[in-house]
Amino acid sequence: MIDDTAQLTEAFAAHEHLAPNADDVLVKSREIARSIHRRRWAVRATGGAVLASGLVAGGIALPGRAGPAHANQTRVSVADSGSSSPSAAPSSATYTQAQDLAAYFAAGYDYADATKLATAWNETDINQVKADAGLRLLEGETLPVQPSGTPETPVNSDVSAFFAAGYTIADAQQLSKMWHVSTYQAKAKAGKELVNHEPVPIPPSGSSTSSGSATAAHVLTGSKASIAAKLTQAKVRALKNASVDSANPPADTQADQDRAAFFAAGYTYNDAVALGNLWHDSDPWQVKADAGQKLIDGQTLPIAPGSSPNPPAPPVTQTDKDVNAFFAAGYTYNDAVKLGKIWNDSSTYQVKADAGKKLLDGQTLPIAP
Amino acid sequence: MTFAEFAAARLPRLLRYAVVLTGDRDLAQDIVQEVLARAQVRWKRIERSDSPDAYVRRMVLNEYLSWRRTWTVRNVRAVGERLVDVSDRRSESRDYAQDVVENDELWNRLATLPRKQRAVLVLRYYEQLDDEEIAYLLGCAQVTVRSNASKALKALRLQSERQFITVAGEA
Repeated sequence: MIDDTAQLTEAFAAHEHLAPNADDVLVKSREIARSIHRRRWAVRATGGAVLASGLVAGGIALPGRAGPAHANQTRVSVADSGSSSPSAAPSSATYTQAQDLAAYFAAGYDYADATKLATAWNETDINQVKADAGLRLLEGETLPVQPSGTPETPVNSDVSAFFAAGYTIADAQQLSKMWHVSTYQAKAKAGKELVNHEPVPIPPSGSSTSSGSATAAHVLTGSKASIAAKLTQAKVRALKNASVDSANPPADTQADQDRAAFFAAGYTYNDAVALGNLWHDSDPWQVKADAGQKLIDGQTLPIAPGSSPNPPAPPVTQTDKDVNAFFAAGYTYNDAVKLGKIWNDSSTYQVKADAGKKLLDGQTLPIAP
Repeated sequence: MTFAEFAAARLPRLLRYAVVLTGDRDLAQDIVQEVLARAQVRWKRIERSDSPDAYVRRMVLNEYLSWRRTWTVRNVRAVGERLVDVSDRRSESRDYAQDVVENDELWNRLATLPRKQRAVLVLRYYEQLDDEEIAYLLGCAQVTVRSNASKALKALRLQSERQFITVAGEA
């Protein structure tokens, strides 16, 4: 008989010990959460493509867990049937595992952090942990472990681009001698030039390029698979920045990828200026991104790549001539400062111009150069 | 509080709640896994709630009440049998007192109750909630809560009496 409700309370409490193991439940819940994430991405990708083109051709693949062997396999692939809209979305929309890893490292995390995360998540596959962590970062989540390193900055992103193009430490040392800078500065400078589609004086010794100068186009137009096979984790970071065929990146890198697509198509800064004139946009930086987005969307630009000549040099003013005369006489900036004190003129530039004018008029200055 | 902190602090208690609610170890695990996964995905929203713990516990309750009916119907007897088995295995290494045996019998009878009736009993006698709180959690009127509790207790008494009569008859 149930005479006392206390018996029910006691019966419930007496069977609490049947509760399953919390660690097991946590591990399995994480696996389910990952599959939920992937379903959401698939829905998002499908929805984006439908909105963009009205037609979705292709399939959605939802692997349970992408292993290291599928490092560059796109998790969700949605093929666009051909965009008719200028604002059509890119043809595929999800993150690859390479992008997951890129996001992980770009946030300043490293292998040691991955081992800590693996412990926290009861995972044994470190590569999978890094990818999962990267996915979470891309999704805007925070990780339970703080990064050991510092988040990627433009400078070390340039360094990553340097290595991604196939350059090596030896190349960096060679460049440092040519440019009279440190090896690190040489890597950053060369990487920046690659990103800006500028030539680097020497070809990369680590890539298949055998001669001539290297540009970012090598990264973009080369065999992605063969490049990726050689890439270290740092190189994957740069590939993420340079990649133009993987859509739906974080907002802050979308413009970078657009610009990379612009240069990869052979367009130059001068082309951006010319396009800016056509589009009434005075910001070449933005023009490059807009143009790159159009190229990714499959549109053509109103000018051919590399068709714009260098803009005419601005006319030389009389003030420029005066200033040039000042320096041509052997005077320096410090001399201009001294003259400014004598003449009670706080504008050093104006002092240089006035002094140069006097020199051109055949006068002498109160101090020697 | 991050999801990891929540899980570390609350998961064991959540699992105890789930096993009492469902009466089945495997079902409790399945439900909590599902709920935790969904909670993890939308943790930012849950974290902003007044009580993330209460939010997740309610998710567990709702998951149990909406769990595949066919599964429950098909397995309701097996649930009781499995719990008996588990308890029996434990009893091999323990010297259970009579009240513990009675608890097991009551536990087995609880497994035969409809889910909502069982949930009402768990919320009232395990969670120590009043009828108003239970009504809020179940999304029903307080009178419905009392009705469910009454039916559940009546069913347990009837089963208990039937069992008593059967045992007496055999003797």
